[in-house]
Amino acid sequence: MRVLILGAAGKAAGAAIYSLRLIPGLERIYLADRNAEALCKLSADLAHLPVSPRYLDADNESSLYERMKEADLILGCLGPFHHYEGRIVRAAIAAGRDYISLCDDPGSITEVMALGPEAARSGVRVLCGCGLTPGLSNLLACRASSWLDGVDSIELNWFLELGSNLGTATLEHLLRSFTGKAPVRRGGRAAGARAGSWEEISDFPPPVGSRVVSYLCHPEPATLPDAIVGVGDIWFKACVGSRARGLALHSLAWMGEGERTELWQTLLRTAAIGIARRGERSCLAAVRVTASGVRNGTPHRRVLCVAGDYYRLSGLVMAAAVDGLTRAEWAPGVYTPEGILDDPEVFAWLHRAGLHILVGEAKQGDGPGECYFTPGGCYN
Amino acid sequence: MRAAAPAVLIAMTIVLAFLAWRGLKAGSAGDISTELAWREADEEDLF
Repeated sequence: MRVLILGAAGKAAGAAIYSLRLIPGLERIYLADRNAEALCKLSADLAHLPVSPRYLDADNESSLYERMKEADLILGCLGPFHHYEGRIVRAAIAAGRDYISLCDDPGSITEVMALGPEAARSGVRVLCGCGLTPGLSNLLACRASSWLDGVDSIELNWFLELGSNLGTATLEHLLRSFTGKAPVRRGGRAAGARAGSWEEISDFPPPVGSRVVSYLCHPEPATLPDAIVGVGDIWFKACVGSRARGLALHSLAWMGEGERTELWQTLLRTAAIGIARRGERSCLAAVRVTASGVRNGTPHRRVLCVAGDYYRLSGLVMAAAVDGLTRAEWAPGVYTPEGILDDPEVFAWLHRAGLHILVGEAKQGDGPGECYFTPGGCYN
Repeated sequence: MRAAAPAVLIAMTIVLAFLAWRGLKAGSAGDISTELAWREADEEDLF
């Protein structure tokens, strides 16, 4: 199988390439990016793998089409996704190539889902939103819900540490997600909540601990009702970095909301990079999913969580999707992870690859000294 | 009334500064104690 990675010089693509070494039968990996210098360096670093660099102008449809024709499977790591995703999926359908992406923009996922009939006619399989969140978060929501007889609500919480390793596209996604109406589900109906509002404290496993989370524009509340039927409320809240830096980024995002001049946006983006990329290199992340409802006639809740390096986890989930695509007979069409990857074999693959899912339970007594193994290492 | 205005302004500033400090402190990374006990999920926990 020949794989083309779009946005290969980015942080998420680097992690995906690292995880792809676990997939057998990869004939060639084409690394496509606009940054030719970074591509040459990456190709030299990955000389032990069957990689070939390819210059890509993602704003040019014919350049996209030409690159896609070389491969059997396209991996979309090219953000910000609100800018590229729709165009890339149309090019993949035109080229007749399967496509898996890390897309995390709610609007783009809705746009891509609408292309389902077109993809089915072209015999193309598209899997959209296949990273840590959305992606693994969707699968955890399905698993947490399956433990209950009836699900009333699903709460998704995400923590992302800011640091020098944070990618530019991730930062742009965050700034966009801090503005506008976040998709939520209330009383079984789609609704919206002001991004950044309704703060509450959420507990993550150590070393993340208690964090103040607030609404963020993410696609899970919009896509999960198709897989978890009958759930009344779904919402997504997040915390980015420390309280002070999170508030600063929120403020910058609000200042850039609406129609602004390019100069103003550039100034805000520069300030955001200065705030977000200070300090530690790694981007520790945690996703916590809480499903509440009824089990055996009594109220229960199920809490599942993962923690580790943000890009490493995202790359791992993408590689699991590639593995699933090569093994399973998925019919052509457009899918979200919960529609196709909620399978014991996928979880077994992720476990073998080093992913450890945690269950949160009410404390029986003090239990100091836990150590949580994650793909990012061991956290005490 | 006008004489009391600076005092009211200073008091309000102090209260707001205190609330901001508390808010920032609540969200900082210091507190890793959680209400939940965490354990690794096995296959039966998931399927």
